Amino acid sequence: MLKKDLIELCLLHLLSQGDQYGYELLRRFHDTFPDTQESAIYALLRGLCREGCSQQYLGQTSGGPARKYYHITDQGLARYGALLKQWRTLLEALSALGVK
Amino acid sequence: MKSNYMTRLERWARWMLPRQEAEDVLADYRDIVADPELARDLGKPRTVIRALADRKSYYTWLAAFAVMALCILIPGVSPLPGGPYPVWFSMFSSSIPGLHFCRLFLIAGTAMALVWFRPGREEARTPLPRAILLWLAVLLAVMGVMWWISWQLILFPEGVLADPAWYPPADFVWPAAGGYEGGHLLALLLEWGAVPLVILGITALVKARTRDRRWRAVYVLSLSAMMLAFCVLATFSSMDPTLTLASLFFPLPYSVEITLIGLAGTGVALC
Repeated sequence: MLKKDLIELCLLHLLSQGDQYGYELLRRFHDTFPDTQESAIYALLRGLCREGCSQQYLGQTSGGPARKYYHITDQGLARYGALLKQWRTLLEALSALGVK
Repeated sequence: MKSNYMTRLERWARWMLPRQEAEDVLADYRDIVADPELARDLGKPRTVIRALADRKSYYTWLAAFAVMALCILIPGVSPLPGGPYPVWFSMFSSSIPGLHFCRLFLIAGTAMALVWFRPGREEARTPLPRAILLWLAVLLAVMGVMWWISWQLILFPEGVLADPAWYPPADFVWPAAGGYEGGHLLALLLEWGAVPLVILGITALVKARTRDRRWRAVYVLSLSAMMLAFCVLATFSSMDPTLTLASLFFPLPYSVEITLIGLAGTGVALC
C-alpha cells in the first residue's frame, strides 16, 4: 500500500462521514498530519473528483458565502471499501510479523 | 503576499485547467491561502496547478491554441520580408483553383475559436467587458478603412495611382531602396499592419482562455481584418501595371466573403 493510497483512504474516510468543503478537509488533515504539504493532499482530492470517486456541488452555509462541497459517490464508497480492506490486510501482516 | 500568490495561482489555473475546474480550485484555494497555517507551505503556483492538471486535456488545449495561433500567424507574416512568401503568393492565386489559403486560414481559425470556446451549459450571463467592445470597434474601423480604400480603387483607380499620398514614387518613400516594391507606402502599411493584428489576435486567444471566452470575437475579427487588408494588398501587388478593371475587381469576391465570415463569426462569438 502506497502513501498515496493511505492519504486517499483518509480523504475517502472523511468524506464518508459527511459532505465537506475543500478547506475543511485540508484543515482536518493538517491537524492530524501537520507535516504533509497541503497542495499534494489537495491534488489527491481533485484526483478523486476526476476519477468519479467524489463530486462537487455548490452548497449554502448559514451566514457565510456559498461553498463548493465534496460528496462521496458510490464509486468512491467502493474504492473506500477496497482501500480499507488493503489497509486491514497490511495491519494483519504487520502484526503477524510482530510489528507493533 | 497573499493576493500576489492568488493572482499568480489564478493565472496558471485559468491557463492550465478547464474553465469549471479552474473555478472550483480557485474557490478552494481562496480559503486555504487565507489560513496562515495551511498557507505556510503551499508550493509555487505553477507547480501546484501542474499537479492538478490533467495532462491529456492540457496538451489538447495547447494543440488547439497552436492551431488557432498559426491560423493568424502564418498568413500574417507571409508577406513580410523573410516570411513564408509561397503562402502569401498562393493566397489569392487564380492558378490554384479551389485552394485559397486565405479562406482556409480564416474558416479554420474562426471555426476552431467558435467550437473551442463554446459556452458551457451552466454558464452565467455576465455583461460584455468594455475592452472587448473597444477592440471590436477599432477592428471594425480598420475594416471600414479597407473597404473605403477598395472603393476608391474601384471608382477612381487613376486618381489613386496618381496621388503621391497614396502611391508615392519609389525614391520619395524609400530613397535608399529606390526599388519598385519599396515605394509603395500603402502596400508597406498593409504588409506591416498585419503584425499588430497578429499580436492582438493571439492576445485575444489568451484572454479567451484566461478571462472571458467572448474575447474569441476579437480574435475572429482580427483575422478577418488582416485578410481584408491582404485583399487590398493583393490589388496593389497584382503586378498588373495597367490595373485594368478586371485586375481591380479580382479580390472583391474574397473581400465580400471575408467580411461576411468575419461579421457572422464575431456575432456568434459574442453569444
